[in-house]
Amino acid sequence: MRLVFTGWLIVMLLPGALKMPGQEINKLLPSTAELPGWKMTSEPQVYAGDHLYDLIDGGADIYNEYGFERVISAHYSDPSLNNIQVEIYEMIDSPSAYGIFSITQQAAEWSEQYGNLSAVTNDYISFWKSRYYVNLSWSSRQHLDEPLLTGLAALIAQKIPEAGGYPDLVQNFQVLDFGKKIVFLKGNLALSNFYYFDYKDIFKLQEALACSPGGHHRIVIKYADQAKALEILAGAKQSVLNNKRFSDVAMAFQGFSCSDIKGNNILARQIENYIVILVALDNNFSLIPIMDDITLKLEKSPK
Amino acid sequence: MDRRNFIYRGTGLVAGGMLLNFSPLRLFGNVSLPDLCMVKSTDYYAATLRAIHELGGINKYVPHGSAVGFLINSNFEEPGTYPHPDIVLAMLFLCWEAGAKEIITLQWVSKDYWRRSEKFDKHRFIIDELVQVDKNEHPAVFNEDDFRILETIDGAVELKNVEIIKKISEVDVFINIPILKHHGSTILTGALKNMMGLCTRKTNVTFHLGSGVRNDPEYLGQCIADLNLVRKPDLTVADAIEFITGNGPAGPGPLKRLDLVVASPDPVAIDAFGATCLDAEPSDVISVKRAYEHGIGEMDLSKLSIMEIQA
Repeated sequence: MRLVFTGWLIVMLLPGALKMPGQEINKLLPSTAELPGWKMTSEPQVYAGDHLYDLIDGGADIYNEYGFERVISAHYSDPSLNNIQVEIYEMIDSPSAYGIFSITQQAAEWSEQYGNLSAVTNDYISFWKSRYYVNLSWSSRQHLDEPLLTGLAALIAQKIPEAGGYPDLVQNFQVLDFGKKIVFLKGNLALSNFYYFDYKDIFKLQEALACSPGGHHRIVIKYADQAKALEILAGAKQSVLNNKRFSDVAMAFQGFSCSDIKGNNILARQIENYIVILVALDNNFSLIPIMDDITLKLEKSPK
Repeated sequence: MDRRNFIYRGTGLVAGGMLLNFSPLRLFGNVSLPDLCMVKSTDYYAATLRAIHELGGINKYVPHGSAVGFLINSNFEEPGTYPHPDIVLAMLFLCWEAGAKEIITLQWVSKDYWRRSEKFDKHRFIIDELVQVDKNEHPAVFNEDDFRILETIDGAVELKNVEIIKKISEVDVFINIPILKHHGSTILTGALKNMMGLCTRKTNVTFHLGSGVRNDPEYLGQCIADLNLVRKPDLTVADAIEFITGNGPAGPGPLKRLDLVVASPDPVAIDAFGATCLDAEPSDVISVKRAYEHGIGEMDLSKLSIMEIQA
């Protein structure tokens, strides 16, 4: 009897634990009083934990990799049936929110128009502030009143009280001149969405930075210590050797070089407790001077 | 003139129909058909007609009086994330012309999707007659009228207890219409992964989380391949016109434009080609490897007869 009751309790409590009530996240949504003429077409929905898969048709995995907590989704419409969809993702912390913004918006232009950083196009606005990643988009592409989208984005940004901080790795690496558009990676899925090596986590990636400052990609992966970085680089080289996407795998100073399926040169080097990977996007691009410069800066950087 | 012919002529679609019914080369005996046909054109409707023509014509796949099920990856909004509706409209028209008694959309398709094509009005007479499995709308929830549970699938390695729409086993002909685009977990989402559109959300979540390990691409790829054992599409017509190469499957993401319509009875071949569109090897896409191992199709493009047409 006790077993049956325990089973019943688990069944009753589990969905509740996964799909939590809105609580404070509701307060980040603008009320209809703040949007004259507009209304919410349905109750805002909150999806927590694995219920994210109920909202996102595919693509939820990467949010989980970054540390997804919950999301609130709402639809606003005006009398002419213009629709705006708002999604506010609450991540485990501010660096995670920065990370999911940086990886999903890596192809867009970034500005400081909304929140800490935002991506603005004709069809949508995305921004990051504190532990929140916010998306606003026109449903059905009926963007007849653009100021409304921008107004809504500004309202939500105001409602998030704290700015939140950048990932430590991003702050610590200003010395590397990565530019302002730095993608923060928290796992192999994110790496694969920046540059694809292997579906297997050959770099055992937990924390990395990536950027494309012109002519090449830069990826810097952090490890606990130098020995770990060295060991993982050796394993990664072996995986690359066995992967048909890569050719011309050769020894290089403290690492290896190879070419990818497009003929782009790749240079990987262990520098202290980091693995640095450079991928040329042009066959004539010389990676070694850039790698040497990064090596110098990393070795001089405060430990 | 019966109603069919009357409407047919009235829509101005007769030229497409003539193209399909007449194949001078094939009057002179057996001509081997390609395994896969890709047509490069900016007229996607005509490209679709041409691709099917080169694969033997619609009558080879759609017998008169048959019930035809369409699975269309239409439930996305960003550019490069859904198949161009002109491809679907061309396929609908072909099936209608072949005398399909019923055309069923196996996953709900919004009116907005059709309206993205300038050819929408001319095809209203077909669209208005479509039978929609409207309960299969994301996130689909099991109900006994529309879904059944497959406790096991013959040959499946991982997948079991699949909640899948009943219609997939009831239609005479099954046509899959994916777009070949980026997916954050699987590199490519194309023909094989589009089959998840036949299942409930609960089942699809097990693809992602069922192994007990988060972000387990091996398990996800195996489940996708296993699902494709339920029923192989008779025909797959894929959009490689303009597609996202990052931030998939929903986008927005960087776009690549090839202006290709790709058709084949072999979904593995379609996805093997799709991998190359994303600068990957077919073997990089686990579902392609596993579906090949299941014997669903061919992943080695060098072993396929591929017809390339510049229209």
